[in-house]
Amino acid sequence: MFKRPLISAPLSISVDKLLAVLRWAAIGVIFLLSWLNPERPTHIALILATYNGLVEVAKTRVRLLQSPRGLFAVDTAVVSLLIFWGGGLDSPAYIIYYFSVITLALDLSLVEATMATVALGLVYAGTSVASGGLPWDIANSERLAGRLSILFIISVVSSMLKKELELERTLAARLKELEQMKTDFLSTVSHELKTPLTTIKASAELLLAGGPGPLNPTQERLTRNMARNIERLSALVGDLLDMARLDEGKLSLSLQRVDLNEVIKDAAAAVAPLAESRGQRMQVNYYPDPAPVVADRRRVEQVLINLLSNAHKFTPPGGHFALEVQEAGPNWLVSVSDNGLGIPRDELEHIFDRFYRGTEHKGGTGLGLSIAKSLIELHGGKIWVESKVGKGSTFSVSLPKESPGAYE
Amino acid sequence: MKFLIVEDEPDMAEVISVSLTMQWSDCQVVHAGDGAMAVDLVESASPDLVILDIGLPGIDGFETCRRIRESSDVPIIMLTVRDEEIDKVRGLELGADDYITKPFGHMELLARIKAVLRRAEMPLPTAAAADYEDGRLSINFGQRQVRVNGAPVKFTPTEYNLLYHLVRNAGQILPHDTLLAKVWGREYKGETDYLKVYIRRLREKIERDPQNPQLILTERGVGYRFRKKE
Repeated sequence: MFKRPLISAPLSISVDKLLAVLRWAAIGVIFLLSWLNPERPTHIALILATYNGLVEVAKTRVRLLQSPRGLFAVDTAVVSLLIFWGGGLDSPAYIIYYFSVITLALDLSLVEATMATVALGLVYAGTSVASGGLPWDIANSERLAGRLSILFIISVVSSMLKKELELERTLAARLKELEQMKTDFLSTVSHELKTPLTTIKASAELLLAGGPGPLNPTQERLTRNMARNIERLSALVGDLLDMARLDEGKLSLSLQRVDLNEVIKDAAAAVAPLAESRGQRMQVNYYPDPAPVVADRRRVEQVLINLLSNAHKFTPPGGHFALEVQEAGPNWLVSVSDNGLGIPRDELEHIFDRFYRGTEHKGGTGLGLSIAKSLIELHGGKIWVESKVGKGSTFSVSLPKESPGAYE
Repeated sequence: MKFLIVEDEPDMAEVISVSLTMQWSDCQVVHAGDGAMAVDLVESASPDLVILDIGLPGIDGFETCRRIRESSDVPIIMLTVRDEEIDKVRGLELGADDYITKPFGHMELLARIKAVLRRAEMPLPTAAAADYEDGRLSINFGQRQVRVNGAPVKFTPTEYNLLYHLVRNAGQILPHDTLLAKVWGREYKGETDYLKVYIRRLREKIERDPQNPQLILTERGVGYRFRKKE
């Protein structure tokens, strides 16, 4: 009948705590009542307290006492003895037993709770008979029936709640599974895309390098188009992979001590051809001295390239944008400003959200800034933006000179 | 010059092959579609360099690399779609000399091949450094010989070069990037994984307890330092 083994898994922590508190509170009340009322014997409360104390101590060692059913069995045996001596439906032993069973009911299945209810009735009846005499009047029967009903109702309600909870848990688990599937899929597809991308990229480059023979101007223009768009596609695949890795918490930094000026120089070199192609002036103000920082060189460069290429995208042809490094206590402060369109106030707060693209977006997936934010935060830094429509935007990165975390 | 391309995708193999012939017009390119064939070809064709894709059907690139290393010191460049540090370190520990992540460009591939060949063929540094002797470890730079407790120890050219720079600058901290630039080449700046793997190999060869190094010391976040003899 019991689907679960009699000695099942330990009580859940909350039920276990509730049960312990309730038992000690009941013993306290019983002791207080019997101390105030000389007609009630105090020794029962003391015996109960000793018994309960023993249970608490033994619980850490004895598995039987850790499971609701085991505790129930031991309680039934001990309390039967106590009722046999101290007898009666109002006897303190019976009351604490009752509470203990109610608490237990929270953790039992419906069938088990029903059986516990029946057992509770039988224990009382049985011990009453055994202790010689059954004061079986209507009032007693009503009280017993009342208590048994309360117990039964609690069991039913709690088992219904438990079912609901289980359903929710299943749904949550399923959602998590789907989320994992999405991440895995994203990661697999992105990886699979890389091989054909390499083939196309290298082929285009080989054509442009003139190895297989000279191209006529139109062929060359088309091949350049191809190469440029493969770069875009590669960047996109890279972003998707970063996102999948960030989701899984698998993106780890490879920290080393570098000169921030050097990283900035590499990032600027990557964006310079873009700026040049639109007649823009990119101004980089390096820190006058070496700017040592413990960081993942590649990742910081990625963030800076992202900020600089955004500035380039939103700066009109012939305009200018700038990068500046400053020392700010334990941090380096890098800011990238442009005199482009600026970002409307209501879009500012979403600018670092994943997939968010402003109304004036210039292509892109809306992943770059969100990834930049995660990467800077992994370094223990911060990234933020200030912007005025029509005046331009300034993105700032504050990067700790010593990133927290282990490195070698 | 003879290259072996181990790649299951014919298109990819062809692009690499064209790229190689463009650079070395008289080179020979051999192609293997799977790992087992690659291991055989390393023996029978004795290539000067192997370009090995990791995502092979059957035995994968890692295992292929391990099997090649059982019998040959040929320089190996691994191609992979994964750029996680753990994969990189695994490839290097199995004996690969370099590791390129897809999508790479034709220039990048050539630059890496040249760097690897340069390292493999680099004449080992000679008497520019004073010999080292501490009773247990002795290094004779003139004869390019390293002995531990009197027994000679074998080093690959890259390992020997790294040791050379460390010992020559004993007592000084050599930053990651400096070591990478000196031993691997300027294009390897930032690739600290290479350094980690090779430092570990050196320690396994010359330290009494590689887990608790007394000669090649780690300067956390900065670089490495060879302990100066007192």
